Amino acid sequence: MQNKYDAIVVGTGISGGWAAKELTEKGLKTLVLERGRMITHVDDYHTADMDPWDFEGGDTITQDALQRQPKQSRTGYVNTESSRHFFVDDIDHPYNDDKNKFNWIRGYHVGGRSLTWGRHTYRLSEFDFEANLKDGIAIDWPIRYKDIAPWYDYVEQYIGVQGMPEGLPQFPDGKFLKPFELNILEKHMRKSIANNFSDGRILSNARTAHITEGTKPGLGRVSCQLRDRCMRGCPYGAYFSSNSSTLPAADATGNMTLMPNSIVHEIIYDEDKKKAKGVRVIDSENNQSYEYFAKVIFLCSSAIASTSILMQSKSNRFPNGMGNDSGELGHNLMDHHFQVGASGTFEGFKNKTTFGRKPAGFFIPRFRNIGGVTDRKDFIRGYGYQGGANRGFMSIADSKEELVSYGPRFKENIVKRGDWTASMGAFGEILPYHDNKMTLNYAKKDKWGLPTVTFDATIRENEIAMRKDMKEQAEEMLERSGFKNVYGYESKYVFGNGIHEMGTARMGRDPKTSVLNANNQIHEVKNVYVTDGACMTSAGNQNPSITYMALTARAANHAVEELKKQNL
Amino acid sequence: MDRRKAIKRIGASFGAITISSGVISLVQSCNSPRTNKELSFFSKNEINFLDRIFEIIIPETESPGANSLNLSKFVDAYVAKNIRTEDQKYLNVMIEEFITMILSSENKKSIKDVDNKTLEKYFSDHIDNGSMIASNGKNYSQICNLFREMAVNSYKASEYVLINKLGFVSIPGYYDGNVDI
Repeated sequence: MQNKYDAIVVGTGISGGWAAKELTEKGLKTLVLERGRMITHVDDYHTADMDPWDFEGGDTITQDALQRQPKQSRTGYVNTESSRHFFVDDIDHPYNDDKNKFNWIRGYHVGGRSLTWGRHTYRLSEFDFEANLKDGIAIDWPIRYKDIAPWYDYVEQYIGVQGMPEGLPQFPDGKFLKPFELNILEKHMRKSIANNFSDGRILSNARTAHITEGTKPGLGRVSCQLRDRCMRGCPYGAYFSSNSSTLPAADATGNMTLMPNSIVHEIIYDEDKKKAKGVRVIDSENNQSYEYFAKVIFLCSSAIASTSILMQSKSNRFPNGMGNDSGELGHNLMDHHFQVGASGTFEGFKNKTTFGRKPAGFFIPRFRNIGGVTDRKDFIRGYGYQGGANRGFMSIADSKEELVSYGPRFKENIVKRGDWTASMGAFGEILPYHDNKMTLNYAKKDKWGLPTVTFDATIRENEIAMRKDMKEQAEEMLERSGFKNVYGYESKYVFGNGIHEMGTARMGRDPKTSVLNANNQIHEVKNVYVTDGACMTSAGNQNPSITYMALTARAANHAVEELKKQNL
Repeated sequence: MDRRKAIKRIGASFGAITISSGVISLVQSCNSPRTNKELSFFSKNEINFLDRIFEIIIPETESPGANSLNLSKFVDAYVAKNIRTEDQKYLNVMIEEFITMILSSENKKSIKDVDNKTLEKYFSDHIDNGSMIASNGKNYSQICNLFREMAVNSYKASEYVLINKLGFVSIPGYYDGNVDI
């Protein structure tokens, strides 16, 4: 069996797919290792065309799912019958969160979470790259917006992102396809919010990675059919996933060898050459161990898994894990806190409704702490809202009339249109606290004999103060837009529930305080690049996947240039 | 108290059927071969009783009613798959108690001997009426409200209603945010 390659990519999700594509297209013979099973685009989306009535007993989180996936089930939505096969079995893949509850929501299969991601696609802005320096928090990012902007352009044009340009510095525009239309109530809200607030806040179209016109590279990718079944895998390839887009591109080069069921648990360090020389792998099906070698290694297996691999990569040079001279490996764990917002009913537009099920509603970009009247004394950083307006059908309570709470007239009432409703939920930034961390528990191993991950992370005063504002502003925007029955809510946020875990091997300028440099290379092991969420120095409040893709493409370009110069 | 909480949880679970996504997301079709399957949770007698109660709530009119749409079979599968075991037992108990109260009041031995009009009277007395006290001194509004929750949410989730009453289209192909009704 061949065991030597130019490059090894660990992971096939959002970042791994991009690393595979970029490296193979630039001519590198690349081994792509995925710990989970194979998922072939379309063929393995067995629920994609199922209608609601095809699920016996409903498309729900069943009692069986609760038994096998108790932690995945905490989200309340990811592992319903139509998509539970894309999320891990918690019994087979345990982790520890005894001190502070942590939701580590993930899927082990080719494509990873690129099949189930939220698809919201927002660039970080200069506010985000400058934030740590300005606030004196943690360490400064080693890059600025201008360094990544061309790579955002490059990625957006390849994957397809629909959106509306707005010209706001905290909400940078990109290379957009035509947006999904705001519906009549969302347009009303856009106007009301612009007219009723003097701090410049806007309601825009949610920017998502869906094709809305033409096509994009990959396996027959065409426009969204408005089915709203994205988490099952899209047979039209309408939203971006590794399976429909980057992995087929890598495969087409003839330079990719893709190996599913391959658990990478260690990077092998060459003490003489002072660089990585390969990886150690366990075949998840037969438990056999293998070694593969390459000139350059891309760790793209998600923030927690990549850091876990580095922690397990111990050598004389790195007794505490590869790249951990700073002691920061596993620290500064972040997510986005959410599950706070408001909803309300709107009594107008009685003769209007909608057709189709668009997979994106509206987005209200950050409007706090971006200068002038927007600056706050009670918290730093900011948040954005994701939401939507819709017109559903009458509830039981609304269908009842005096003495008519069942029977023929009641039957007619319950299928009549109800009021319009809208809701919005905020996603807020969590600061990079050093003692929010993950560690490895060698006393508690998984079924492959590998240590399990232990989480210990909480939100603090800044996030708690921010949440108060998140709720109040949601209520206020609905009220000023003429909504009735406005109901603000705040659920208890469990760390990780944003499914944006990041920051355990941060980028920085100084090897004494960071794990990675400005090109995503481990400071002390230049031929290892970490380009998933582990690299994040601060979280911003934006959904992060587009940033991981852009950083990966940028890093792959750097790696190829360095190989040409024989620097790796 | 445990029972009250259990029934609340079951009601909330059924209530969540239609709000779990942008559109209604479930069902059982009147033409589905699954309707011939063995029951998953309820006994045959319980299903017969639920069929009668559901038909009172959603009767056959110019469009199919609860029985034509086999709503009780969907409810049976739903309870078996989605309701926690410790809550399920209260369902059997409360259905049994409601039937026993009717039989006792009507001096009958089998619910089959109680005609539909009489059954509707008991349902009507208790639905939405927390202060109604039956001859045995008990109130049955909670189980009657749960019957309605089950019937309505499985009705709205049925293939017939989704397509013919709620405008569900499998592949819309486009979005229009401003449609005249």
